[in-house]
Amino acid sequence: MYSYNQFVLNNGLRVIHLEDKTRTTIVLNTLYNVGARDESADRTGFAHLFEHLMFSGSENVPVFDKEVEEAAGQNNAFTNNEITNYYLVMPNENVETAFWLESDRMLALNINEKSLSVQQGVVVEEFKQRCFNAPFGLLWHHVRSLVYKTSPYQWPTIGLNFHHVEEAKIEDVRSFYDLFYCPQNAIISVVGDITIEETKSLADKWFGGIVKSAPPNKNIYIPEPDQTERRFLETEDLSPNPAVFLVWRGPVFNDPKSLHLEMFSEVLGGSDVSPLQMELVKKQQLFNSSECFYLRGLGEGLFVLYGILNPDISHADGEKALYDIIQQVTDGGEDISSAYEGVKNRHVTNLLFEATQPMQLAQKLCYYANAGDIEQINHEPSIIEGIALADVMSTATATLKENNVSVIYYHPKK
Amino acid sequence: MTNSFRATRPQAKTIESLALKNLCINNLRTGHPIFLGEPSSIGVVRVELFWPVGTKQQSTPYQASLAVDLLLSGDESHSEYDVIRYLDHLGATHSTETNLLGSSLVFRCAKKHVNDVANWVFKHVHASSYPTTEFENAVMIRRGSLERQQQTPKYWSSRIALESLYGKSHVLGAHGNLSDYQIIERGHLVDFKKQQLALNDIMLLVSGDYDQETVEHLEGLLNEFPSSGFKISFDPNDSNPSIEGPQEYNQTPLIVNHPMENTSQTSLQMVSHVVPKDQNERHRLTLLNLVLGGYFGSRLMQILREERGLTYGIGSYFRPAFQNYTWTISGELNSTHIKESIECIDEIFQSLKQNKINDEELYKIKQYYAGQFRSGFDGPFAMNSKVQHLIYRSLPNDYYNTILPNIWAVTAEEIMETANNYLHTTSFITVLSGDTTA
Repeated sequence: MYSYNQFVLNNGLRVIHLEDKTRTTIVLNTLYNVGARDESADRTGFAHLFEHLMFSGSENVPVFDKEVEEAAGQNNAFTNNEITNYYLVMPNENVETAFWLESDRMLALNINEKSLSVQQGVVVEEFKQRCFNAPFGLLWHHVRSLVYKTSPYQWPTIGLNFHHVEEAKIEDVRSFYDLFYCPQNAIISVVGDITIEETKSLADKWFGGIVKSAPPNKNIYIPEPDQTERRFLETEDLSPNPAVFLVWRGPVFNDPKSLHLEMFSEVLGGSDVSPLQMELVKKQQLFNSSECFYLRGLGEGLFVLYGILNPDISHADGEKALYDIIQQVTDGGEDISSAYEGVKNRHVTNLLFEATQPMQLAQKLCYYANAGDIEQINHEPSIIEGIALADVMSTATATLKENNVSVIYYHPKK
Repeated sequence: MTNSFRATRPQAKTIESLALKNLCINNLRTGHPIFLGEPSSIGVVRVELFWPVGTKQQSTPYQASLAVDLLLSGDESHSEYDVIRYLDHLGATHSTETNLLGSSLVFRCAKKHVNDVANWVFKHVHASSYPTTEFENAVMIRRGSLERQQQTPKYWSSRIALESLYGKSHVLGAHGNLSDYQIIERGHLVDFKKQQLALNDIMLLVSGDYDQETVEHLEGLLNEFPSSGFKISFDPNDSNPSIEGPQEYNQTPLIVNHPMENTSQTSLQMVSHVVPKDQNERHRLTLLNLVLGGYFGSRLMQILREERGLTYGIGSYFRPAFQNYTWTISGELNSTHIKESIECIDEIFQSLKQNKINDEELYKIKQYYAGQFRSGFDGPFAMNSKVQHLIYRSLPNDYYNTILPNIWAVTAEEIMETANNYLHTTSFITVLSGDTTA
């Protein structure tokens, strides 16, 4: 059980504190409730570009990273479709520097043409590195454009194309900052050897005086109608072998059924001897690599199942084999029951291990609070223990059907 | 409420030292060395079986890593499915690692299962006979993975750089090919295990939520495999591998181009073999590398990324090369400005050789290093890799407590002198791969 504390400052900033006396560093994690789904369709990739600009200094901190490094700390950030998350890891004795730095860029970011121009170049290079120079680098572009037709989940965080990033204007940056980077739209967590009293005092001192008028993000988006047909895309990519990807939409984070699909993905492909590996890779040798996972987001759930085909195996045969293995697992049997017990045990062991990872914990506390139920962090082990195999299989059967799947056939680029 | 107090930065303290508790390696009654981390009531135990053998001992590409990876692939009476399935059922996870000088099999599980998991792992590591089906499957999977890696410019820039520096036949430069997967046989793995991967040869590293009973249980499992003496096989001649690369090396800057179709960036790798004279010079090199490309505030990142926007990431680091290093600069760069980027790197070299770094930068790199160094010891599992580092480099047990005072003692003059000794464009082989049209 995690004995965390939480409180809210007068300006609406939510603060979570978790004491861990065994550490020499303290994590200050900041989650902003804004991601790629908050972009407009002609300015995709902007939330991520903005994340880069948050390191360009602020009113009282001309060079952000220099201050972090001189205090012997480190920092980084990530953006996804739903949130933007920043973290600072500081030696215990220099924790106040973290509060100073994080609060100052929330108060008054230094927004200028020069840093925008440089970071546009950096992000374009990141786009090329991730999307053009890696096998299946455009996968999420293809998946999202196939699965989503109306909602803002139809573009990936990196952006539909890098021209959107290049076309961003300084006015866009300013209005994005004013709209989303305010205390009432953020949650911070502090994990490490620091008392609740000290946390309250530092939070109040550094964040308490930040007053901004924008309302919290209401997270209202154009809905996506149910998918009731098989969708199909055939494309080329930087890959030596053809591949088949199958994607289904499923329940979102706060729906207990989303955990069913996470557990199902573990049973299906979470081990070297799972049915996916044993049957399709090792026995039938249809694929030289095959995996599955459930992306469990606040406003979306995606079950992804893929196989990279061995020579002379057709896409159609690969696709059929993937449906067959789902059927085989949902049909159950003694082996599946035994594997399911293992999956539950592994989940619980992983949760125990997570307690030794302060950065992961700090991020998880913010994420669960943003999702509306921070207490899940303590209920998780018992929730997992309580999920019946029959419920997992029932959710999988209802979700993973051939008439609501999105299918991508990859061919090696010539 | 006024925000004027913000203009004054909070006073940050200097991280001057590290006071590690006793770090000692004991011997079990069976003679096996064992490192016991500080016990921690977290409910999870981690056990590492560590062999002092790696790719240096292999006679054919992939032999060592496959032999280690497949230690739990089954035997005469159990298939891989049987072996892994039982571990899965107990919620245990396992992983393997093979490097130049050492190999490990690590398992992690809930405290209540540690004895059962250990029984199973030790039994099957001992019995492992690399069944043909499991061997062939592993080869197929790895071959597919290598094929995908070979699609990326970074794979080729890294590979060609090391091959050019050390030679394709030297252990530091050799790379396996796709065709090697057709040559390797199950028998190669059986031979390697027989000669190198016995339970008699291991050291144990135990950490997390273990107790004396756990240690005694592990000791009991090793009763029938008395230690044959754990020793990293290190030949002093390995310190100075002969350079088999092109003759131009060391005379004029050598740039190798490896164009690839369907790429939109240039992957850059620069490599140089570095032989530090002593421990103090290692500290000076550590700091020089930080200034050059060892962290976000480095010259390479600040100039090429933060000032010019020519890369998402570029950095430098030391890759272990026996007791020495392969100094590596690596980055994916905007291909239309590649000439500008290479000239910029040369300018950074020249600047570090001609000008002392100022006090502010000197303090920043030392403080940054100290912070990362100290936090690297946090957590119940951190010490395992630190202990292995001592073993690989034959360092004394109090080594880590001596580092920070020595780091803080390094002067700007010494860093400049080190730059003049090592930082020559003619000492580095440069490989450009991907879009090299510019």
